[in-house]
Amino acid sequence: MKVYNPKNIKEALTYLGGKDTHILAGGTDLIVRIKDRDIYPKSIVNIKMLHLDYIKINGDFIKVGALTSVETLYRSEIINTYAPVLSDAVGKMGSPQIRNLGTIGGNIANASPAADTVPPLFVLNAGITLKSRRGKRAVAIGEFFTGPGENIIERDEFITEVVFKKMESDEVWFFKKLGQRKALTIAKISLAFGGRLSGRKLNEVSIALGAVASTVIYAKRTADFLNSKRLTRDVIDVVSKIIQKEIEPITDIRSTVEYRRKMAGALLKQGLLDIMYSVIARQS
Amino acid sequence: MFKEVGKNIQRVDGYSLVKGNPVFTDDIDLKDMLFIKFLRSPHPHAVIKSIDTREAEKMAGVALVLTHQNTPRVPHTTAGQGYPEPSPYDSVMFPRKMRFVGDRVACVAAESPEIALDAVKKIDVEYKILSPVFNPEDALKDGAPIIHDEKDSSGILDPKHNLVGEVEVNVGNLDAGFGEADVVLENRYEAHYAQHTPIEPHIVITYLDENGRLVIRTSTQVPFHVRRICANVLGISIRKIRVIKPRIGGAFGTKQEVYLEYIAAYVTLQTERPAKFELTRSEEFTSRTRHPIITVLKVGARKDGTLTAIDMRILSNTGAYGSHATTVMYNTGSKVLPLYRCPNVRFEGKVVYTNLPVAGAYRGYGATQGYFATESMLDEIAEKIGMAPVDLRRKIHIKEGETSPIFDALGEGKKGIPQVISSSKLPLCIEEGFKLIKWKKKPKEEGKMKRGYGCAIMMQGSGIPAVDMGAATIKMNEDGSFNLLVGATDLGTGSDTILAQIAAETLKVPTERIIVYSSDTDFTPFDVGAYASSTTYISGGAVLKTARKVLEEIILIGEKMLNESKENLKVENGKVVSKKTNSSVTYREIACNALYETNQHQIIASMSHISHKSPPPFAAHFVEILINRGTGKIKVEKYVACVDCGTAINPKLAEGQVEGSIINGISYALTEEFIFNKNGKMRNASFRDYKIFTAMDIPEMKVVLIPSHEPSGPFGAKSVGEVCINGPCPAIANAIYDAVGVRIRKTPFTPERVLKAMGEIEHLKDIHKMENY
Repeated sequence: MKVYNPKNIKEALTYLGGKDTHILAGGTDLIVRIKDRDIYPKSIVNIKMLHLDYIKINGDFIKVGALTSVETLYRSEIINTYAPVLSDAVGKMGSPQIRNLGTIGGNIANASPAADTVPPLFVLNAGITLKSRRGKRAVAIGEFFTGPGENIIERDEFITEVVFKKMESDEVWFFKKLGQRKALTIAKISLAFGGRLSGRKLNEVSIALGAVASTVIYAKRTADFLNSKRLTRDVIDVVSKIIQKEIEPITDIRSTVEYRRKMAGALLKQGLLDIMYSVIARQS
Repeated sequence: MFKEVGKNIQRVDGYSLVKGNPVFTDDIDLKDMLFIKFLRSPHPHAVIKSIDTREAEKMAGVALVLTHQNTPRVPHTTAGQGYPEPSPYDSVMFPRKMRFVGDRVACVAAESPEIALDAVKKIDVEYKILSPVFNPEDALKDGAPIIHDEKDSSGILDPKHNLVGEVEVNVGNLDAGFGEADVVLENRYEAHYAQHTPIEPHIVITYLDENGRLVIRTSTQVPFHVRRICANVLGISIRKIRVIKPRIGGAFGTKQEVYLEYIAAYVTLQTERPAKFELTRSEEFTSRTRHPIITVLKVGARKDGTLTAIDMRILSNTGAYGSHATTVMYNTGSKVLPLYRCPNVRFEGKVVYTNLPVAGAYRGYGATQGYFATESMLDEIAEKIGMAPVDLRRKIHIKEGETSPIFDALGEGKKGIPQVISSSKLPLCIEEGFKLIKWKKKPKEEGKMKRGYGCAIMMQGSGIPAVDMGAATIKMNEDGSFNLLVGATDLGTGSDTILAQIAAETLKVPTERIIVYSSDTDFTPFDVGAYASSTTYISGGAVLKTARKVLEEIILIGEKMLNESKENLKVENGKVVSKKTNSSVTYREIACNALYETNQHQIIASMSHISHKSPPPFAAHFVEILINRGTGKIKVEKYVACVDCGTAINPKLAEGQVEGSIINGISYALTEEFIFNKNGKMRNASFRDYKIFTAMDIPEMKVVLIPSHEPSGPFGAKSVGEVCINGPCPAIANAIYDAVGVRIRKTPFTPERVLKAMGEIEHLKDIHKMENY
């Protein structure tokens, strides 16, 4: 096994393209797979030295380097202020050791249906920047995944940056994750919610779910139903049933179809009730 | 008052462990060492038709391939118990018949673990597939696949029905008892599979010493049983084997098994090279497990809470081999039923083979599964008669000075021994725990979080009466220090420290003057090992006796040196002092006198200890939980454990045992679960998929040790290692009922099961199809 340690992006790109070439970022997925003898890489391109560890404000946008660690995201004032839904999700990831090593680019590229950063990035409608010797392209996160562990990255490409718009003060959000225990746990189901609120009326609703399909998915019908609706108990009861019909989860070692379906409703309901109560509290 | 006992003395091995000194089995590297890996059966039930190892043997770096064709076939039990063993002789080094997914087909010894793994894949095996049986109730039926049908196995009660053993005892008149009852309830409770998950998996290193004797360095609870069982299986004399137990990274019962040692030893004997055999984590999961037990329990009670009859029937699943099969089954009765005052009791037990992973010893040893049933049932009875759960507990338990006919009727794999409870502070444990949990009347809160309280009482034993034996040797050095040599086995529990404290207290020196060396069959006297909560009580008893004998010898020499008779002498701070003149001789002077001057001899003594009783430690547990009605998730808010373990020789270590048991137990109750596929293969054999509690999950715990004095124990001590694993399952089940009004009689209480019980999910598919096993 050959390991390359490129010093810049240009050099890194020269090593890519081979069949059994893998990219090493944090290593929290790759090394485990090698140890499990799940994959046998011929070469590994270690991209740690590429200076892709940054969080920048660029006008209305936030730019996050692909090598930014989960812990850095969690501690970032910028993320906490302008992408709180992501901040909340990364706080619930793994353990301190994993958060220190794991990167946002790696979490996306690994394409787990249960990836913790992905549902919030769906809600933020993030763009993923990919580079190759052929040039650079941007792909919306909603079009990035094609199956469990599968995505649209070509062999000669890698993720360099994640870009999303700042959240604004009229935006409401929540992230919910159910695992088997509090830390070091893979989601049985996760749900990220974003939308704009004027008075008690919702608009521009976006809902993304993890671990209920072969990739993270948008719950479009559910979101559509909520658009221009006033948040009431009745609406919340109805929408928590709609989302259960919209998804097609499976049974695996972590949970069951029935439980996951039920939880999609329960998590949405809890989050929306919290929003409604806080609006009512503010108004009174 | 005590000077060394009852104090939080630092562990004698604490610094070296914290510094990362090379203290564990794996911490030595021997020249020319071979590494061993298993080929395991992919089938739950099959016979090997042919096995071709030529391709593997040809590989560079492969030293030896072992199969049933080139190894001795000696039926034995892997359970490291006293001799003759109560478990059936149903195992051989490499069987021809496979009995569960993971059974041992062959092994490769090679220059590196990687080569061994690659070579394992080159072994070509042809199997004749047999139909398996997974459900223990099906296994008993006529016409079920027969798992142990080989002629040379022994000790199996009814192999044709996969029945390893059974027991029935009757005390009083059951029918009359139920007749007197105002309330009779009958329910079925099921306790599930679990693994001990020690941080250090099973590991052994074997080598030949300079004289060609076999040395087995192994992570075991039972070094002397390892020596005996290996000698038997290898067909060599005990005198040719030395077993060394270094520091251990946790055991909890799973290392009361002997099944890697003789394979590594055989490799060493064949190749004359050192060999290392370490299980991977995924192998560890199906190495040995907790017996899943189905309990059908019928209890009769009067309106005032008096229990009139208990009928307990259990079906225990021992998996593919009968390690600890009958003894665990007996224990489910013998360590549970005597807790309850009830004149009419029946206990019936059956233990069966299935084509699932092998069960074995696991902290609690059957009592854990039994208490889940009885302590859940008591709450159901309490509700029926309109009594608070804690009030019923106050009323029905055995008290100091009382006995139970069950002690006599049921032992461990045989009849028991009558005993009177000579120490119990259980009433105080209940009162103190009840106070600390602040059990509130349920407020009528409508929110999504529901609060609930639950309690459970429990006991265990201290060693196996008239079976377990420990011995100690103490010799005095010329600086007034002492070598304490014990066969007892410190598993990380701190027993080396506790035994040193017992010696120090008796010899009236600080603990640091005691140099402990333990668990080496060449250099330490015999001890059955660390199991059945025996070390403090049994091995501690041996240390106490030995230290007393050495003290007598010291005083004898002091008499001569001070020219004073014994009655006028006292011993304090490492000196023999004349009460009359206050003149004194130090231990140093006494030891030097004995070694170099007068009547020259080594001051040394060895004593052995057994006990004809097994005084139970008692505990009362209280738990407060919050259930999220939407998700079914249970959050343990607070856990209170009040424990009577007699005198705590080292309170901090005793509290550690209690806290460890509670976390172990809550994790078993809430998250740990074996998930099998249709083939009986465990699907979640990794820490990624089998969730034990992390530091983040641990609730607020309040542990209170309530001292009693056990007259038969060293300085009044009883055991503490196991008792508290029995509480969490029933206490949490009772709290769930208190919170949301549903009774869950099958562990673990996952959110899926909680919601199902609440009627929120209709049924659970696939994943829990195997749950009846």
